Amino acid sequence: MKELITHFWSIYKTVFENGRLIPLFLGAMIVIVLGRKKAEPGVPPLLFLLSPLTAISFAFTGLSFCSGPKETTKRSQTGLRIAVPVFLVLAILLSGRSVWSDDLADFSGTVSEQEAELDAVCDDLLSLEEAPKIVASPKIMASLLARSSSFVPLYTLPSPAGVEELPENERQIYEVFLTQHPDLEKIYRICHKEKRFYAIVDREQTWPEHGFENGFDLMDSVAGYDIYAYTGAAYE
Amino acid sequence: MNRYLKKGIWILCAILIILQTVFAAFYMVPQQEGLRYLADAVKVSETGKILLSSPVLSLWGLLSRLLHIRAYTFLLHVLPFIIIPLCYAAYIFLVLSLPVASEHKPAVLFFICLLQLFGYQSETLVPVTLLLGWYTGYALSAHLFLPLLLVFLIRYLKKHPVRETAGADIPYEEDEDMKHKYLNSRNLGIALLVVLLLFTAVTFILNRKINNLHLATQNLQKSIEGKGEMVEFRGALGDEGKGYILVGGDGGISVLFGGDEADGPALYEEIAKYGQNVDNWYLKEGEQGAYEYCRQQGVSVSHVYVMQGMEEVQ
Repeated sequence: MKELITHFWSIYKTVFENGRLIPLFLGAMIVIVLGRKKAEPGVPPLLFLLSPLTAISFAFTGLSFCSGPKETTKRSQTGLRIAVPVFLVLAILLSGRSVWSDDLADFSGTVSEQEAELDAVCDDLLSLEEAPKIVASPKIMASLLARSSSFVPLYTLPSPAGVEELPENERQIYEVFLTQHPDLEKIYRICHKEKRFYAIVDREQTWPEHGFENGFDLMDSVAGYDIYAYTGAAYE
Repeated sequence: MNRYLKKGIWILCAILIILQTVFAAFYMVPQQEGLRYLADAVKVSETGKILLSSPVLSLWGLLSRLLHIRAYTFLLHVLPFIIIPLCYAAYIFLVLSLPVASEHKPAVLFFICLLQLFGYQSETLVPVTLLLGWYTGYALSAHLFLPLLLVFLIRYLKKHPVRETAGADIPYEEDEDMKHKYLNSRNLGIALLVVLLLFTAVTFILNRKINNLHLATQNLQKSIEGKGEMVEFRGALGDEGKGYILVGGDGGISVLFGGDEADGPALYEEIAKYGQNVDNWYLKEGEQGAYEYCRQQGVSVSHVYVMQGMEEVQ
């Protein structure tokens, strides 16, 4: 093991001995990205990932600085030590997306209000049945499933890349609730065999259609959410 | 670097870490992809049964159950105060271990804080982003275990410094070994690494193929069932095949034949199980009684086909 590490270290030193190669590579990537940015919007996340890798690699080249390679002058060391942090910050700012953006951070208190509303929806549904079957938009579904394991979803919540792996029926239900006007007739056609289930919509963003004529009744309105119950009663 | 500047950067980093922790606990908008993972912890918290597929989330679920705190509240509003400082402690260990001048170490930590602030890349990577998915195993692996692993690696390298030169101080046996053009320990080491990488790649690719096949067959049954079903209608007395009701995967209904007027009520009851709208109805010439009855009961039919000239051939 020690011999192996020794050989890898000697190869690493041969390639990166003076520590110039890594920041130059990162600098070249930044130049390419800046050139691409005009033609193609969006920056690949690879540049963001290169930042910590470059920083760690550069930190390890500090060992070679300590051992004092003869060809590395003090001036080039200073230049590198200034250039590398600048390149790293540029790479992060160009390619990283801030966690503090509007989609991810809310400082107005809206998030806590929405959480309280969804808590109320959750309690309302659980008061009706022990294991209510639910269907809703992916965001609402995820919020309700994260509050109680008693809910039975009518479609499995997919990962961003896993939508194609859903069974046909579930994918159709999932796609219905991606729209602002979910067609409840489609939901009825797929799920009519279910005895009872609930469709939850955000009243301020989603306006379902064809609900009443297909066996859905507006059962309750909790804060900004409407709960539709399907009982099939319209056809009994 | 100036002593006061160095101290200032350490203080700035401490402030950033505290702000990030508070942000994560109180101001973060829960992401859909993150909530998907949270459901496992909720299940464990409510049932008390560990999910082997989610060991980390099972741990949080058990903790929330033990503390009688709802899992949702525990993971989203309590756990940031434990996990985020813990991850940054691992990063501080890493920074202190790095072979850089001590005056530059606070700058490295500041860089790490900056990475976390700008760390969100896509919805897929929410579970790995510390400030969005701190409760997942992926975030712990990337921000806690990986820095600690690097600390151990650096300390190992410091305790076992590598030789600067090869040659004079190498023992005779090793020198002989390196003299051979191809079969020396360096080349063998490289060959071993290449074989390891190839083996890992092959394992990864095969594993992915097997998983895809498994998923495909897993959904195949559901897909076949989802394509539709065919129900035979046996008439009012149930003793004779009078027609079929075809229900498509999208819920569309088609009816073949149906019988005469006496079979009407029974046929209507069967159709009503699937809806009141029939897309296609294929009638036999001279046998439309059941169809007429269903129409009178309110069943709407989009298309009607009358099949003429049918004769028994066998």
